[in-house]
Amino acid sequence: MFIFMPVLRSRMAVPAVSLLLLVCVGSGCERSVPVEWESSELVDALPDEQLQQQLRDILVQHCGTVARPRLVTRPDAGIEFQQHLKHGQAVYMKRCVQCHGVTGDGNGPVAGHMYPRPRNYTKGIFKFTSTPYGTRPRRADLIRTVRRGITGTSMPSFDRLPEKDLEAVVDYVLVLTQRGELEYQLAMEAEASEELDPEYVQEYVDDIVTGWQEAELATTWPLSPQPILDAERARAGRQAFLSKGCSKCHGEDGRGHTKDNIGLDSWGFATRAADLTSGMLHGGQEPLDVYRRILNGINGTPMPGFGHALQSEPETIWDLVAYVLEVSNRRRFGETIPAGLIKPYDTAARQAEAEEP
Amino acid sequence: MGRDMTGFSTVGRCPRGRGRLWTAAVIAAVAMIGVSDRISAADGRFHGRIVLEGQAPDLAPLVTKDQANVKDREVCGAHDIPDESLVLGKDNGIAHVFVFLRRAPKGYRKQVPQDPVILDQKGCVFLPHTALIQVGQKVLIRSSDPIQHNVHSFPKRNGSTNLLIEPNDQKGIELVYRRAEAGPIQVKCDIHAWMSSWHLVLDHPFMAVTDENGEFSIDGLPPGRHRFRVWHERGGLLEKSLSVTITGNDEPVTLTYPASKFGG
Ligand code: HEC
Ligand code: HEC
Repeated sequence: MFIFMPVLRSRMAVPAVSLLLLVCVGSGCERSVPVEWESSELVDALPDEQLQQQLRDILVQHCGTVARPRLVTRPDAGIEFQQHLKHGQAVYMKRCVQCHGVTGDGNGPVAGHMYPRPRNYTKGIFKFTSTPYGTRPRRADLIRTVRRGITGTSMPSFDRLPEKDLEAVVDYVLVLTQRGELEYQLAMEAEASEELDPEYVQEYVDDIVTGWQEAELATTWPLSPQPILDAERARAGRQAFLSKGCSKCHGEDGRGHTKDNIGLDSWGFATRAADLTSGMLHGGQEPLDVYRRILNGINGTPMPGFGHALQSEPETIWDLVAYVLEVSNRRRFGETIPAGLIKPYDTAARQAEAEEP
Repeated sequence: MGRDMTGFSTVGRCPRGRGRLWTAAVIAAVAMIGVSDRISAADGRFHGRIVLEGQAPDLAPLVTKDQANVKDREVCGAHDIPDESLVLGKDNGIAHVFVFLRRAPKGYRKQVPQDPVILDQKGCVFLPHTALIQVGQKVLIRSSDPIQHNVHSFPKRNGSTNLLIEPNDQKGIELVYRRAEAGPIQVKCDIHAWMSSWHLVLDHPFMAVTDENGEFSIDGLPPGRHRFRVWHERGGLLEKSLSVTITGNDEPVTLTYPASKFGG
């Protein structure tokens, strides 16, 4: 489908980067793999070449190389796990790299005009998780996302992928993610301190390990059991949607087509409050999926968590879930929803605008 | 560089971090005063003013009173909301400039302040606009507005936060940062996109932010040479490594920056 051409910026100091070797996946040798991962722009921008090299060496020590990838969180993994990661790499180079890029920075050759953009893993931030805002995802969250894809975006579903490939490719995504996290922290440290003190390097490594370990234990669950999500719930949910702040971003009709609906996400791209009526909930159609979006917010985006605000009225969250599912399904039931409503948010402002000559 | 040193012999400038120290007088005095090696006894002080030179840019209010299509107009449009990205006081002193040591001086033993830092929201403005926070210290986020806000932080090392805060939530919600950040981080409200504030999170108390007249003071510094960073939201990193020799008998300094650095 995609013609993959490895895009490698030429690097003055590291000519080895441009050497390629072939990796064979299943039926044949299809993709070329660079010998080394590229450094991020932050690292390239460090004025001190020796420091750059030191940083790259530390990265190799903890994250390995393309030939021998390693997980920061599995420092003493054996040969079997190593082979598992190599297998994951092969799957990645075949099925993911064109969008997510060789280093996982989301800058694959076909990523250009996508909205939303393919995930840049190197920040360690993932949107559709079962964990609280600001924390890492569980590995199971990533597996679920890759299996079912992200409806309404370019991220395809990989539900036909054998279990073995799926597990392996997600672990390889974790290699790229953790390498990105460590590289970013080291680059900031090097930039600010002009040296890389081993004591601090260890602290950064420990933080990565702790972050991923804690996420495994941080699954969030509904504050109250799931009720039957009927029309009455949806009606109550609509009221809450208007009174609890949702409409301020998503608009009163949930379409998000309002002119000041634009924000920045943690990857530096413009993002809009979702059109909830599109019938394509990115984070999943299950009530629990929608519940978690509302409870925790969506990591890396302006969508805030309502867990604190609605703590004392947990039923309201279910009402909102019922409403979101209802609007999201309307189109499927043949209802047309007027497009492109652009209107001010509060009634007072609307009146004021109407009164203006 | 090419501009006047501000006349205090204890201040030197390192153009590129590791560069040489320009002036470092009075080091000898340190030995003579005979400072105790216990850091709690340190009474060195880095203090002074930060001043803008030249014509400051004219900043229009972010929201004007009765502006028609502003969100939550009855609250956010009740008054002009000034652009606090550059606030000047007496004699062009620049407010909201952070001055800090990136890492605590050797020997500093960490003591987390008991009092929380309070971040309030009133009239669709974050109060205060800038805050100093220590790792482990409680940050209490609350709201004095009768409308919803969301508080969204953009740290580089800690996990970020994005919480919806209920109208008039005075009990608020507590946050704690686990790690020091390399520089100030932004805290925003996405519902009211103009709402912005800056927090500096460090694992020591050797930081300050200039007051409305551009004055700052960092107390309790052990004598010796320290490298300060100076940062402002418009000016960026004004000093990456300002080398200062602290003696325990420290005169105030004046740091002057041209308006061009602030979009003037
Ligand atoms: C055609 C382009 C494309 C391909 C191929 C692709 N992805 Fe994605 N992927 C995306 C886009 C776009 C997003 C971002 C969606 C969003 O932000 O809602 C994404 C997001 C992700 C996420 C982030 C999920 C989250 O919760 O934040 C993961 C993990 C991921 N992809 C893994 C993979 C893996 C593994 C493969 C290969 C097996 C793959 N992707 C192939 C486009 C692609
Ligand atoms: C501060 C603005 C803001 C507020 C307030 C807000 N949202 Fe969102 N919401 C967003 C943004 C932005 C996104 C898209 C995130 C992304 O980039 O994927 C979103 C996404 C969502 C999604 C995920 C849609 C999907 O495709 O899976 C749901 C569900 C949702 N919001 C529901 C709500 C509900 C319910 C409320 C009120 C309780 C609410 N939102 C309040 C900004 C907001």
